[in-house]
Amino acid sequence: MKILFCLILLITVHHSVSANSESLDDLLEMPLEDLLSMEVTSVTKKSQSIANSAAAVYVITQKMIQNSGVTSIPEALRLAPGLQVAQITSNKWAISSRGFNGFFANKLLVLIDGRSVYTPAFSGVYWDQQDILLEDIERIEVIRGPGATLWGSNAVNGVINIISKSAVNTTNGLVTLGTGSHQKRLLGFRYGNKLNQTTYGRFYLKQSNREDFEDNPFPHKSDDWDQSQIGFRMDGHDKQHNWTVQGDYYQSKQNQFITFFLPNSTIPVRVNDEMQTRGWNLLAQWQYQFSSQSIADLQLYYDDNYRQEIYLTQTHHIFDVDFQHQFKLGTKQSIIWGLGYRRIKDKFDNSFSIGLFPDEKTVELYSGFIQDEIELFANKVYFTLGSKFEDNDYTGMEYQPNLRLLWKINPRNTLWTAVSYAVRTPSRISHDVILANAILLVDTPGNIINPNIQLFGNPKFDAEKLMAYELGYRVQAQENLSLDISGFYYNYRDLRSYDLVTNRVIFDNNLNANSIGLETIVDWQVKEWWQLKFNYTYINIDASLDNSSMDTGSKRIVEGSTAEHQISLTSFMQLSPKWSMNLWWQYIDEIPVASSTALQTRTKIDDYLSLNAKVTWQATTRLELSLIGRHLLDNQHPEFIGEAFIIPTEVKRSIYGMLKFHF
Amino acid sequence: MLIRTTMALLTLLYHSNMMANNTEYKLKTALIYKLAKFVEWPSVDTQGFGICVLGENNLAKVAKALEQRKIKGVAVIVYPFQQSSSIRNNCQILYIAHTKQPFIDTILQQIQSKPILTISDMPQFAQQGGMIQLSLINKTIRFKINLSQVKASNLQIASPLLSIAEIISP
Repeated sequence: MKILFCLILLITVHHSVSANSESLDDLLEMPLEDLLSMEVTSVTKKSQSIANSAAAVYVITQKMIQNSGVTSIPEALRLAPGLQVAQITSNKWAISSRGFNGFFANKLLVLIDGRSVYTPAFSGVYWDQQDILLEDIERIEVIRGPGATLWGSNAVNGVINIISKSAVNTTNGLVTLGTGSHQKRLLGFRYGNKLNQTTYGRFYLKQSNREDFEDNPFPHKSDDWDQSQIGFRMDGHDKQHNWTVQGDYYQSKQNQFITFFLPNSTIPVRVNDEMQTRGWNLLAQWQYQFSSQSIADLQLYYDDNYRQEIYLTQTHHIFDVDFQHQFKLGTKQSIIWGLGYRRIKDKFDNSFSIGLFPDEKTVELYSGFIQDEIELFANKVYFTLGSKFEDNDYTGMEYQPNLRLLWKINPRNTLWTAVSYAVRTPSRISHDVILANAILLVDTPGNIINPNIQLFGNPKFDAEKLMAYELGYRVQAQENLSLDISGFYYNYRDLRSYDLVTNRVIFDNNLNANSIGLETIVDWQVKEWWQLKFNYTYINIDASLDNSSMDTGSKRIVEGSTAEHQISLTSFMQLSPKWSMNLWWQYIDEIPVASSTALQTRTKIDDYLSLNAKVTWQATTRLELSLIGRHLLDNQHPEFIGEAFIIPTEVKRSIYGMLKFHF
Repeated sequence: MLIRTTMALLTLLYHSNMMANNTEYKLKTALIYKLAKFVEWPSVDTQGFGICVLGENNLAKVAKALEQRKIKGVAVIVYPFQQSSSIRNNCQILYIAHTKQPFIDTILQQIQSKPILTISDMPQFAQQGGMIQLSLINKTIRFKINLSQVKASNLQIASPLLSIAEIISP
């Protein structure tokens, strides 16, 4: 023990010497000319361009994540307006943008440092497999609305871009420890340093153990989970090049309650499933600057993941390469174009309940995009037009164009509008699945309970289409008060429906929908020491069926699975140099029909108000202690009911302490 | 032994400037410090040399390390602000975050003709009445100086600094 202690001390002492030998003190001794010859990559440049974009963009900053005291990516996403974030069990989430939420939500694209993390199986995200050391997040960009032109298919209702810090900005050590109710064990460690004149690196590890939510009806564990992840990132640069290499490995063990059918049985069984996940990824990115007006990017990654559940085991090997080039054409036009290729190789171990046929497949995706931003009036009006072209193995070539107009009325007022077309291309499941208990997904008249109906994937299942009309206004009313309003009208065609053909249910495209919504964001720095952030989200969805379809269930789910009103209010107070307090209220309206399971059991999710609080004591410049309370207003409340298999549990109040130590 | 190691650890805990891990903020802090050597103020408050940082807390945190140093023979004090209305008279230098651009006219008006050296990295800062603009050209930082504004505020900039800067006359 004593040896370990001395060792830690030794590392600490050694590090503080080496950090000082090239830190601020060093710079302060340099002549001015030397300072001016030093290279610097601006962190502020990118966020500036986002504030000027003709899209509904919200940025969750590192500071907001820290203030809120959240411990996972899904929880951090609750900070953004326009997103629906609901916890189904301790380890499962339903997350979407502008409606259409579900465990298998499929209209949202999520990227971690440029790596797409949606699973090709159903085009949604397994949130329990996505993690990162939260302290290493630079920011999370949330783009509500179609981002298909730059990012591609499935960026239908939104894009979430999780961006980690460059290793240049993490040249120190960090230890985080946390424990309390529900959050039983939270461990984090990062160490970063300058490797040579132009190269920086860091590595991290994270281990979390969370207790189950349920005072469950069974004598064993219900939804606790244990997660471990390690990873690294290296960044290097010189006059014209920037490069990044990064990778992660993770594994988790989770308990879940599952309901599914056994052969020759008409009654679903409930079982406790000890599921497992693991995976790794490696990403390399290289940027070459021809001139300040012309930059090219090449990115390659490989992602390997494995997920074993009682009803299905999935393995995916994904290889992706992307190239993009941006340059100025004349003085008025900025062009960005790119090419991409992705290969997905999968393998499924089928069960009676669900199977994919064939159980092994390789699909390829070729894509390209071009976008031109034209400055119509200098520093005033910008017009953007572009399109993505994507050739996939299921529906062939898809075009996804958009038009955007930005008008900087004056430095304080910005108005923007956009018209875009986006598609959600079929996933492996919609094409190749056979599901035994179709009853859990479909509510066809006259067949309320008939587990003998099987659901079949449909090779003719087409892409879901969206025409989106958006309008936004941003105003910096006063130095300490800003307002951001965006409204949208969406028109969906050929949404997924479940239709009865003889004794089979198949995926079809007989559902259409319109949605209308509004998001309001107010940021108010009341005093030097007191900041308020307020978000309000409104959304209303109406669906209609083609005459040929009897799938009233899907219509009711599309209309009923989104809370009409959502409000979030955050108050951050810097009470003294050492003490701060954050209070965060969230109101989520009722969810009348969360999913097919909710429809079938006639259970709605009631509206709820939650309060999260964090008190922080900055004991020294290196040591920070905090106490966090989550969902303080009730003992427990349900937030969502998943579509199939998973039995939901209720989110419990939890209180935990965190220690953060920099060295 | 245990007591000694604990003591050593505690000393480390209290050692400052450890949070300074961002190259950009470090460089900006160093530039502010260096620039001050080329500037003459009509008078300097002996209570402290005030460096005010408006709207950029991360920079203020890094710049806090300057408090262990002196400028013009006076100990530095760093004041972080979010709103320009909080700026007091004890600033010798005012660094303004680029996010304050929509309000730059009112901010500069507020301190007009006071001997406060204004610095910012916002585009057009020197044209709009600021004194020293930091701009990023090919990954390195360059200065633009609005000399008439400097003179109107009774400040003087030594010629070695002027010779490496671009002089802006709006």
